[in-house]
Amino acid sequence: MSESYYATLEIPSQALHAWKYTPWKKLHPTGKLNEVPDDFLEAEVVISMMDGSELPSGISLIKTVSDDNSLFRYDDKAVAFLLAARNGNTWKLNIEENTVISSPVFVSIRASGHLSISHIQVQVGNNSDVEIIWSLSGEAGWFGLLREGIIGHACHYHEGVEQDLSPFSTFLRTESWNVGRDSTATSGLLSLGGELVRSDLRTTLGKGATYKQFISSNNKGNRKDNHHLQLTHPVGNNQSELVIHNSCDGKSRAISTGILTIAKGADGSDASQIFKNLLLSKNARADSIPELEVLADDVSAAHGAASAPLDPEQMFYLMSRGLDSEESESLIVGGFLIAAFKKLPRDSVSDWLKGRLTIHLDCNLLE
Amino acid sequence: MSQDARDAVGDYRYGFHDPENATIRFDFGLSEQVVRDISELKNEPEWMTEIRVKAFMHFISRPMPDWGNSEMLNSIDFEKICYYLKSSKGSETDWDEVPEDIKNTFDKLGIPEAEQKWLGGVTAQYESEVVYHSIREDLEKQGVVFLDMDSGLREYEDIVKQYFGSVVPYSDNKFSALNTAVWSGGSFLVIPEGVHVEMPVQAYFRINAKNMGQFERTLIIARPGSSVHYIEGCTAPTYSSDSLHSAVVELIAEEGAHIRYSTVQNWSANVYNLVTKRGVAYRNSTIEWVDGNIGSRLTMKYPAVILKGEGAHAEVISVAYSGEGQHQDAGSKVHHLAPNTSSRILAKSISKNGGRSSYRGLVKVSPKAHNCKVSVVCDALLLDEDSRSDTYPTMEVANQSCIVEHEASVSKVSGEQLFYLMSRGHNEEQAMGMIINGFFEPFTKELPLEYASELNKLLEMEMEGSIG
Repeated sequence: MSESYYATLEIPSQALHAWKYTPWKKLHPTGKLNEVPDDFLEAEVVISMMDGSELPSGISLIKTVSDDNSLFRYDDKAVAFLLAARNGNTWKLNIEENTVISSPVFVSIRASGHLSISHIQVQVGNNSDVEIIWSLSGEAGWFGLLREGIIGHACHYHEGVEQDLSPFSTFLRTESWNVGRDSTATSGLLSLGGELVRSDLRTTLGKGATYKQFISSNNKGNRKDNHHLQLTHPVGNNQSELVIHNSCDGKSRAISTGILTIAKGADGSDASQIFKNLLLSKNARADSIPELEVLADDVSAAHGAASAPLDPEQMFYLMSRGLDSEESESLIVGGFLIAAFKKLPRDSVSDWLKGRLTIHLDCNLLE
Repeated sequence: MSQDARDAVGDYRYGFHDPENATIRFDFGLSEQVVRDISELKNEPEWMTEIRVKAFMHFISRPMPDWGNSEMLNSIDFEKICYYLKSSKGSETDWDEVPEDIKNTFDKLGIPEAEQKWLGGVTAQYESEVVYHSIREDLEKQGVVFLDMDSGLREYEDIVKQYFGSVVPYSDNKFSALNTAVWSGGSFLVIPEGVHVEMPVQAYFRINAKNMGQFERTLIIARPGSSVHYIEGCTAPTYSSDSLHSAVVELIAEEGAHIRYSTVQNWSANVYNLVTKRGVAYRNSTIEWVDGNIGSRLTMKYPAVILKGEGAHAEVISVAYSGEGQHQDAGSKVHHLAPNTSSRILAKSISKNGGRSSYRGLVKVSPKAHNCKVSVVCDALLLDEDSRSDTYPTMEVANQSCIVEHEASVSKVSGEQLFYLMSRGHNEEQAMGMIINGFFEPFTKELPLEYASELNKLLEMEMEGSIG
């Protein structure tokens, strides 16, 4: 997709749900809103097995160059920008049909330089069962990630994503996923890095599919973490679940917007969204907008949102046992964020995310 | 009634109408001159004329909102609406003096009977002017001012000048600008300090003329320590051309005051109901909106409360019923600006026969609003596969110490509940009706008995023939 196409798209209005809280002018790396800089560096992408073994046959990561290979099917200024910036480069992670592995695959994406970009396509073949750990790191000033995936029929796909970019980075992430018939996909996201983060994650479910997204976001300083999540049930008899836990300290701000759409005729859909915010300082802020659009009647759709401060009773309990207030707070925050992952079905994924979060919070205590 | 009108009325329960007996009717369409003429006709002070003209300028300069049901909004033709129509010669104080045809209309709606029994006062809006106005003597003795808005402007100009547009300025949105430009009628209610109006005060609005826009303006001021329950009911005859109802309601609850504003809206299914309702609650005061939306083609109404004083409380209970071709886009907004404020929003909706219900709400907690508590609950029932339910809640929390809760659910009527009732001898239609009445119960129990029973009847009628 070209820069000229990007320039033809209108700058998204803040009246639009997805763009209300983080306008494009704040995200654009140079401020020249209809231009795409030509000095993007490609992020380094490395694949390995978590247990140190050889990458099994049936799993491959290859780089391709083509201007016309994106699966994104909607016009969006951010998507068009990233597609123009990637210069045709795409990493393709291919998992062949019937691939079943016992140890998680580890994919490291490291963003460096002033401007960094990465486009990744994931293709999971039918009847596969895989776990993938994604690690996003690096000190890039601005990093754009396009990730798209097609999960075939009757698959089990479980991923954990840790985003631990430099605390001064701007991070723009757009994703589009299709979960195939009778497949189960889960995603656990630990959002820790970046100063300004906008993630636009869109998933479409096939018949009989299950998709669960669990997000924990730890915010401090001036960090602003904006998640926009769209879950679409175009057909029925499927299930989706979205859980977001945000903790906000300092002057940070967590924004969670969700659109859950159940199309006409998608009977038997079962969908839920839960947004929870823990506010730790007087200047912290959390905005939650979980939206439902339901056009079928034989469905179950629900959402809930809650914002609250630290429970003084919990603090008292921990401090009466010898912890100081910072340690107590860190423990409570850790417990709150880890709780978002309690429904992740694979221990290897949830344990890894919990471990990374614990390290992160311990480091915060030392600062 | 002419055959055309009878055909247009169809089987709508309140679909009778009186021959238009207008004494003054403006041409269709809106211009600065029309705005000035309305003001001149009413012999208004200069400052009001200027506000009207400014509002008109704002109205024409603003685009149509690009959210909500843009398709329906854009189908409104403002040039085909009459912006002022005066039906009788003036405001009446005695029911016997009200013109017979107008009285017949209200007789059919049961107003005098209700008034005799228990209502504190009646102001019936018939097209653009108040035709009947009464208030119980004991309220007058207590110093309660209950007038139509035009009389309020004449008799209490200083109060109107102070508060008019102070809660909903004309620049708030396109339709508040339209209302400010062409407003006519509505209620002006001032409750003096410490006065508790025990009986509900009621106004009844009704559109009679074809292509008639109705733009009433209501201002309620509850002085410190006072309380009032104001009831507004709407029902309109069915016509084949579209009508527009664009009201503005401003509530001011001063320290320790309590205002409850109840609405049962049953416009016929060709009316665009685009209303701005907002209240400001000062220290330790309470504002309650009890809002029922049954009729209209498109309703966009989000009763709002600005909690400005410490300890203020807001309560919003709203129900919406969407039938064929209807879109009820309703909700609520609460701004917590002060510490120790609290709010509770309960929204329920039912969609059937392809109707669409949307809850659109905003809860905003400012950095200074310490220790506030918010609860938002939205429940929706879908009765068939052609209907639609949307929920668009927004929660913006900028204070650490507050507790905000929100929950929503969308579902169909449970088969188990239906089975339970049918196994006890009810047919499916009756069982469904009982479940729906139970679903709306948190709303109906807040209404006076007469309204609650009328609402239940309306819902029963709407449900007729919906099974099988």
